[in-house]
Amino acid sequence: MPVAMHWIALQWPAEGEPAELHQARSWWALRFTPRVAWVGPALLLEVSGSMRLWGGRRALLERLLQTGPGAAPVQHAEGATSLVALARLRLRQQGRSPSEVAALAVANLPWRVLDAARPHAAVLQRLGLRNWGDLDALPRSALARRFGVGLLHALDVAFGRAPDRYRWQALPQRFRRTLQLPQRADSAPALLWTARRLLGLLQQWLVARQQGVLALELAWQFDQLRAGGRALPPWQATDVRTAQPVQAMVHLERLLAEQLARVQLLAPASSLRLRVLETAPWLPPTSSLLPEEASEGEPWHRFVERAHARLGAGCAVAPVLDAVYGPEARQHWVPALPALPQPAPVAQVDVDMLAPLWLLQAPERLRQQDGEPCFRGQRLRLLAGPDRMETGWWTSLQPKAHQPPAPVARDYFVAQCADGPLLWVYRERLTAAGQATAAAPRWFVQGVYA
Amino acid sequence: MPAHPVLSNVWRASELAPATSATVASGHALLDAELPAGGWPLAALIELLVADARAPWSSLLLPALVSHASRQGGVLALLDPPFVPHVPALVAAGLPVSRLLWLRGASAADASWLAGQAAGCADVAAVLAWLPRARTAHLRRLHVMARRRSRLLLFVFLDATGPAAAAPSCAPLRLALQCARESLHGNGAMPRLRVDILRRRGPPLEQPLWLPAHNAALQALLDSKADASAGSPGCAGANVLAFPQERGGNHAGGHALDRFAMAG
Repeated sequence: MPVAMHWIALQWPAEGEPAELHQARSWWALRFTPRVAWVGPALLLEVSGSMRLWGGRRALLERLLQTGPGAAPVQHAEGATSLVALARLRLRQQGRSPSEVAALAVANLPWRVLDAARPHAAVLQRLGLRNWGDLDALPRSALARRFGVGLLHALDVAFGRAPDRYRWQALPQRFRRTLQLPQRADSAPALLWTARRLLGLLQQWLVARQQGVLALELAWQFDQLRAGGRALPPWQATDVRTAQPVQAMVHLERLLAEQLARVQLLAPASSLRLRVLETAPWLPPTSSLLPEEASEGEPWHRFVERAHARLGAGCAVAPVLDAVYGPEARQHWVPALPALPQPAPVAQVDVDMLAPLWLLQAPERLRQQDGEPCFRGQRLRLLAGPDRMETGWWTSLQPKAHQPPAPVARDYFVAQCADGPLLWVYRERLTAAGQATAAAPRWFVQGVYA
Repeated sequence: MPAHPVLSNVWRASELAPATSATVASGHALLDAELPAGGWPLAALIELLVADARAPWSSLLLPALVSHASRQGGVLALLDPPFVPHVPALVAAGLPVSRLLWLRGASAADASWLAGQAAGCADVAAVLAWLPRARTAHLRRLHVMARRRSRLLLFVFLDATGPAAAAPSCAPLRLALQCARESLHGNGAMPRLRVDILRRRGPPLEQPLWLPAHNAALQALLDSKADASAGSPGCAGANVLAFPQERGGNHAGGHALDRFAMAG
């Protein structure tokens, strides 16, 4: 038994809508069913195959009317064949009420709402024919001879005796769209408005393909070939990357805005192109049953990516410990990763119990009065020490290629300023090599017991 | 008399506020007794006024940070600290190395933006932000962000001599920290951390709190040094002191090298 088809026709207000909305709507409709076609200004969807998936006719219709890009559809109609749905849509446009239109049987639909019958309006009127049933009751051969095969075929399609043939909308494999800018953009932030329209289009494509975007490229074309006496490249581009695939465009939009704020346009741009570089299958976030597990804040990777996009990679850094002796060489900082590292089992850190929690950027030379170190004119009082550190004496045994940090020979002390705070200071020890050059031991402050 | 029996969120001005949100014990019994609900409040802005960055504020915050980080497993973000974090020492103090983040803002505006972003991130458990010249509007925005994160510990350091210190505050807790000698110990004792609670939900605290300025090992050393210099000035020469074993089972029992000679 053949499955009864079910067609839905939608129409939007035509005036003043941006051009890409047409494309966005067909991609949006493709998430509900693969059978989507435009007939003039009306969008047709054949939903018999996916109606159950979306929770039945009523639920699907509600979703169609509420979730579309841009404004909501002004009119909608349903029917067993595409022409019936279209005919009812036209009746609705003529101001008939929904219940009246839905109650009208197929045979009672006026022929004025059938496209194929319109060229013959004068003849049909004179023949006294009023609706589809009257036309269908005429002898087929005579009808074909008089009005052409087109009307006969349209009647067959309308009554479900012949298949509906349309140019179905298809989803491109790759996303790559170009939009003209409404006016020449002189600065990168001026591109943002058009970029936002492209991102809205991208979102429809991603949802229909069940993908999330990882990386995309925004490029803009110049409307001149030379600037400042130099030839321009045809395109200038910026990349945006994120660690987790996303479908919602809020995060990408903010990343893009931060990046564009730092970009200098080589010349005024005339058009904008958005291209997807990398996607990954989309997994919707799992919601938790327990209320307290709901996270109250944004994910780590968004925070790091946004901070890096706005202030550069140096603004959020994470420590790395190095297996080297000597306080300066023991740690270095790298840009924080968008993926939060798993907490490693606490590594044994061999550190002096008296080492301070805070260091200066670089050891600072201390002045000396009568051979004693002074900090900002105040004599330091040594409280604990010396704590001897000598590193690097073994480096002469290693191959030269390893480039170890410079050897260190120091005596560390905890010293107190006259006004109270404690400092971590050291005295350079004279090694066999240094003895020849340095006359007196030098003092440095390296850390603060803050 | 306890809080009002009918209205649980009404308290008498002479009493500390009842617990309205979760807290983290500060690790200092003296301080916990004076803080409403017995600890640092979560999901709130805590303002610390510091005039000199060398003041020993680390020991005040470290116990709470360690216990909060180990329970939450989140990141500790340090925003524009006045010095470079010494990571091996921080790890030895109990903070996991994979959960440290150093944020650097080139300008005051960048720094306050970063503070807001860090406070809004679900994986950040604690933020220590140095915003010495922050404006009241920024601080209020930060407080509003913190209110949305029920498990965030947020400390903001302000310059005690700056305009923000004089301006009215939206933070439920405001403390002033300084390094000073405790007057009760008249013997020229080692400086301690003087904590003045300038603002809390409760009666004003007139007496400052005196807390140890450094971790137990260093503090023991300093105290013994002070006693030695005050009590028996005649004891010259190196004074060898056994240190408490703080770092767990690193070494079995005492070790000769775990002693420190004090410079005489």
